[in-house]
Amino acid sequence: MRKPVRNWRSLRRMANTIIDSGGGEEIELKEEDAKYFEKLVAERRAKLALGTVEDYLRMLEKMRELEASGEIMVHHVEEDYEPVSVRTLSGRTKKVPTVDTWQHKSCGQCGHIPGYVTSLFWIMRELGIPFIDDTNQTSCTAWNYYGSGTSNTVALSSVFLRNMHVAYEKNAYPLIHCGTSYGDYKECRFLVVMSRDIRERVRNILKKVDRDLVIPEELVHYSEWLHVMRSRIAEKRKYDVSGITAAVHAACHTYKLMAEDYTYDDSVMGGVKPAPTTSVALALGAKVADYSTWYDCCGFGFRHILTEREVSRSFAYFRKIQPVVREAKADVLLVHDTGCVTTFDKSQFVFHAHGYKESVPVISDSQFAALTMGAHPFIVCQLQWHLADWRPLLTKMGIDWEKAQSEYKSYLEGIKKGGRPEFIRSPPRKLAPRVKT
Amino acid sequence: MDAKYARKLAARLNTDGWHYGGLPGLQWEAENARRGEPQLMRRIVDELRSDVRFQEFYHACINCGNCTSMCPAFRFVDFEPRIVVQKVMHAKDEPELLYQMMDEYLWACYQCYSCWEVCPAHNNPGGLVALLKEAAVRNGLESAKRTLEPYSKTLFKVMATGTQITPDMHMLFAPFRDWGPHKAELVKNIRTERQGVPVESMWGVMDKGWRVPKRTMLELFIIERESGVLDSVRNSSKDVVDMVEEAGKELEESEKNG
Repeated sequence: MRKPVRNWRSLRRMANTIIDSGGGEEIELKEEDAKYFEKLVAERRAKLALGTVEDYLRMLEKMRELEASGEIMVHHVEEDYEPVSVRTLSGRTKKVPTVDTWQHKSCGQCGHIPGYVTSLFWIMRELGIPFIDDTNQTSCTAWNYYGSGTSNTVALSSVFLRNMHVAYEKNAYPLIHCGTSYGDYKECRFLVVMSRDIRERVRNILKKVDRDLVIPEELVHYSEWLHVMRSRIAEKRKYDVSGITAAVHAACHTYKLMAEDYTYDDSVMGGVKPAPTTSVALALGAKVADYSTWYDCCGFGFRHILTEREVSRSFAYFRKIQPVVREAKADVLLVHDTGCVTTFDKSQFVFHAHGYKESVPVISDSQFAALTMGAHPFIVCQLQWHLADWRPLLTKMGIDWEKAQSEYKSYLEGIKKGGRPEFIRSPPRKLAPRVKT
Repeated sequence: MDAKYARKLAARLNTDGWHYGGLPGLQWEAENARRGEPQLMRRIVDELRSDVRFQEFYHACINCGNCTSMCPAFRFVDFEPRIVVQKVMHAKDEPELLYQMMDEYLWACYQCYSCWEVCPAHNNPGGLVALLKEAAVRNGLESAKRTLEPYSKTLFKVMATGTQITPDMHMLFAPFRDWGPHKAELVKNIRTERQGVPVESMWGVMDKGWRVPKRTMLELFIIERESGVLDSVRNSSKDVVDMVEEAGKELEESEKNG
């Protein structure tokens, strides 16, 4: 056992040494030093500045206290959801539900990049995993808030908890497709738990729409679901993608907005960059290449992509697309958020018109996984909605896209004649809906 | 504006008028601040500082510039998160510092929160910008009105249906000319393409992201009304709020009539 230490420099040195050596060492500390030492360990583990992690963990503790006192209900990730544990940036273990998830769809995805969603549902069906695709859902509405300040905390939190209550009633665990909804909901949860005033105002509004205040124990992004399911997905792969080099862009609102709660894994990018998406590409057998501007955002900017697109596309092309092609020499850019797909995919044409040569297809991790598992590139993965040329990627993956295109043409002919698609439906659910509380 | 206050403002400018309150400020920003109503400028500062999130988002700026070094907007437009936090820091004594920035400057922020993660003092410049945008909309600043105007279709869609970037927004090629000829092809067949999407909630739906039931839209409308969103947005985008209210009232009628 080490001797007691007195000053903060020694404590910091000791915290670093203990973490580097893998821990497990006993030390004797004064009570006041022990508190500070715990902070230092949390800081070092999380690779974040002091204070942030502590605040976040305090919020989770308060959520448990509020539940114990009967002030709120918590939607727990119970064993029925067959959770898998992951490490988050805060060092905390997070439970990711794998079955009976309530699909919180993205307003930006469903309208114009539907392959994002169809691929995810297809993967779940292929793995025999039940899910709920509920129409009784609104988006988080935070597009308006971040883009133009046209909402407020109480409204955003009420929308969040309204949707979460629907999931609770259905006895399905929310799985959030959009990075912004995921980030916004983390922020809302923090404020609802920590501020009595906001909590009470939200509770009153929820009463008016006949809903209760139920807070999810964990907020889970779909990329985290793919991360924990990657081995099972890889078992079903149909194509060899070992010749594919992928570059990955992680969405800002998944890992920068309330950064503490996103998944990291020591075996992926050394544990210092977000694990999801990269881990899926690696599990499928692809190579993942790093590039210098990995931390940069996509340039989306919410309002900018709609009304100031020159700003968005300049950023996307010069700060992301060019480095991804020049440095990573990537065959594909994999992303896990609505806005990022849109910005990267739609921002390439203007530059080609101006004589720039760099181009890379942009798809989501769910689409890449589904393609590798043998999903139809157009009927299931809906690649026809993507503008950057995906043909070289499919050819390199060994997918006969010309044959698939011809099949899709026939499929659309059938639709024009009044035919219906063969819908991707969930396998039978294991859990029955809860009686409304 | 009284003479004493005007003298105080004038004293903060250098001979070219390019510095204001010891912080970089553009000539026209300083001019705008000179024209601003002192009461409005003070109210905005008070609203900002009394927001429950302010204590979370602002601590104290050490002027290190980490936030600016990571800021995507900084690379292409005139915007620095460091300046935002600095002006917030000094706004209690000099509310015009905030006002000059709110008139245009802060709308450049991408809200990516790269600044928040790297701030050693735990400030959240992106969060502060969001609070200030909210205040600009609530107080009906001209900059907010100008900003919301081209954005009104999206604003309406989100407020009324809870979804947006819907297929019917893609039925004309003109707004998306810069997306290239492939987009033009997609636009031609968008109805059929949409009917080919093999997920029931989205299949064939053109005016929403997915098939949102009336009751769901009504709940959203009630939330927006009760939380003050409609009142707030009305000050900057009256037409949109009128349309949202009309749609909401129809939903209420429909609910009453079963």
